[in-house]
Amino acid sequence: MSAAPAPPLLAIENLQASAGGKEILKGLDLVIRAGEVHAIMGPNGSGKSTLARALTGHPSAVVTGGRVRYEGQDLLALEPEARAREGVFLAFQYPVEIPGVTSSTMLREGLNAIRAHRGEPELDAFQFLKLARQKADLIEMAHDMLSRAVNDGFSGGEKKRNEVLQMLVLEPRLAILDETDSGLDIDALKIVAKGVNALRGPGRGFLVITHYQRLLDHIVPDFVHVLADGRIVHSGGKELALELERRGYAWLEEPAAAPRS
Amino acid sequence: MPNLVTEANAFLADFERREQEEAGRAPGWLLEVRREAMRAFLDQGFPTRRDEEWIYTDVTPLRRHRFPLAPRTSTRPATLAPQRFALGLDRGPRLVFLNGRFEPTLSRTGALPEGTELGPLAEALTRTGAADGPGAVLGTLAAAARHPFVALNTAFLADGLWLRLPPGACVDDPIQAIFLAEPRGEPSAAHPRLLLDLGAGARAVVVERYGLECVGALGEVGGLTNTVLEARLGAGAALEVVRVQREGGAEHHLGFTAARLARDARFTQVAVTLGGALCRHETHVDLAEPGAACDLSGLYALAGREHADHHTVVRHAAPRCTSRQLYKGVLAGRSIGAFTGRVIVEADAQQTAAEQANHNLLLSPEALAETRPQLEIHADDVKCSHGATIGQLDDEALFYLRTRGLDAAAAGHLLVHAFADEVIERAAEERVRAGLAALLAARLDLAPGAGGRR
Repeated sequence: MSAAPAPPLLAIENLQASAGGKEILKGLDLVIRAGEVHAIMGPNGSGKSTLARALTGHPSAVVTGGRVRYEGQDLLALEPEARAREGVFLAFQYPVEIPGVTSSTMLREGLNAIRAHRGEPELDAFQFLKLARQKADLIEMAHDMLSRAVNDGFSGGEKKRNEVLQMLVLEPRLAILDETDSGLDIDALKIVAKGVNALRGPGRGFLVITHYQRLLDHIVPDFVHVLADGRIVHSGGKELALELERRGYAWLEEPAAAPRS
Repeated sequence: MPNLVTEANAFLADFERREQEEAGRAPGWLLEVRREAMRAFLDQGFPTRRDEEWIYTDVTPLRRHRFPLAPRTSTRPATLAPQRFALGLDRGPRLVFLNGRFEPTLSRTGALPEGTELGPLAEALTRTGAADGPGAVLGTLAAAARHPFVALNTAFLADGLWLRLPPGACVDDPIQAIFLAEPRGEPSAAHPRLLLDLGAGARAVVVERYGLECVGALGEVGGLTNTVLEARLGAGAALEVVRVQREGGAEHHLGFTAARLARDARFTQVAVTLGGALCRHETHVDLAEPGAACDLSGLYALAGREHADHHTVVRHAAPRCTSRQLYKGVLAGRSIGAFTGRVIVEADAQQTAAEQANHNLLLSPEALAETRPQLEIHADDVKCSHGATIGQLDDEALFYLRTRGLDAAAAGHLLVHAFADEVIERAAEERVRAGLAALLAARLDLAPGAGGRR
């Protein structure tokens, strides 16, 4: 990392959000700089998925306070597609099945919308297919997945791999992976990690949400944060993940429960 | 209802005027068929919503206006562009009708299997008697005595499509029958008739297209197109009818399709209704002999205050017949889409397999879908199923697509297309499917690049 401070890719300040009428995020702060991989861990219900949804504009996550700057602009003011075009990507915890819409149709329209936003020429069907097949090869995905309906009838593992394929094609600057490891066997996990690592670089940041340390053996984070009760209660380096694996979360949640000034 | 007689009399006056004009030109048997039909129309009058078959469709707009017969077209046909209505079919037989009348300069038949008769009905009717040629099909499947608008169509019978295929004949390219209304500043009516007679083992695809050709500054005026198609399928014959309706948002369209299937014959229909002030299409299929099969599918895409009502009646009269129905509605604005599907399984029709589905996608909170399955089963060894759904675009799918960079409109169009594709895919001919997808895209006013391509 260079000595001069890079402008933060993502700066979350005191973010508060509710879901289903319940307060979930209660003042979350997080800064991700380009080139960094941040992992967020935490128990069920701590707000991990609500954070992912709030950052991508899902209507179920209602932001009630705080702000989020993405490359200096107000991320929360943007429609979901505008966030995508600015380079924000979410690998869904539960990828949606869309019968009748092929992956290649969706991805080509998405990619071309993003390219148009960047002032780049659209890819025609052949150019797109060539690109998408290269990316599929990288994560050992059969090419015919591209001509199948989006996630329709896919196994859990296929869906997660498809999320990574989409990420590789769309080349986001901020990628949020919401429990991309869940439901994967160790071989699939390695392949997914390979896809993520292929995209790592100085211009990109990652927010990796996971329950388990094992993903972080393969996608080695620069920072690990613990989310509990809607706040980041502890941050550390990659070794923190190992400690959490050993000790669980209880020892970290206690300070949050203590009275505050 | 005293004013009912008056309304029907408006049609009677037109009928009588035309009889005088054409005196001596039409064969006597045909004049009698028309007169009989006019009497049948006057006897029945207009249906009302108290009539079980018409509870979803109020034909009051048809009673309020006079619909004189559309004038013979005087426009230079050369200025018309029938290829706009050709669904991308650049070869094969094409018959074009303007205001219900055959237009030879825009039509072609090309090479056809030996013994095939294909041409304008008006001409075929004058060549033959009551018991041969089209006369032998006319009125046998669509009875004037039992349906007021079939009666009206028959009373004003002038022209349309005549197709006879001898046994074993196969026409490879789709046969296009394009009916264009050309308004002249006041509402008028056209009553096209299509008569199809397929011998044993014959095969054909017929594209039945209804459109509006506006000339100069004249726009939609709320005219009436009232069609009847009768198809007789011999043993083992296969007929696919792709029916596309779109005259305009102010226009009225009534359609009646009837098919009778002999042993092992197969009838496929893909009916695409793209809306109008009032649209109704009835399909009556008689699975008369063992092993006959029909596949009826329909797609209606409506907006504004448009109204479309689809009725199907499938009669299983013999053993081992199958019927499959899939109707789908995409309803925007304050539009209303209705579907009534009746399946009758007669006592002898053992080993019947009948399935029916009607699915509706509401794109606006003001749109309305009505659905009514009616099963009448008198045999015991049957497999019948039916299902109906009314839903909206899947919010999670919309969000997912938007996170991939598609804007909300493009994402919605992609989902609507995915919904509609299941019907379009049932057309066998690839060019026809592509044409239908493009038409639907235009109807749904898709943004360029949004879902119109695959």
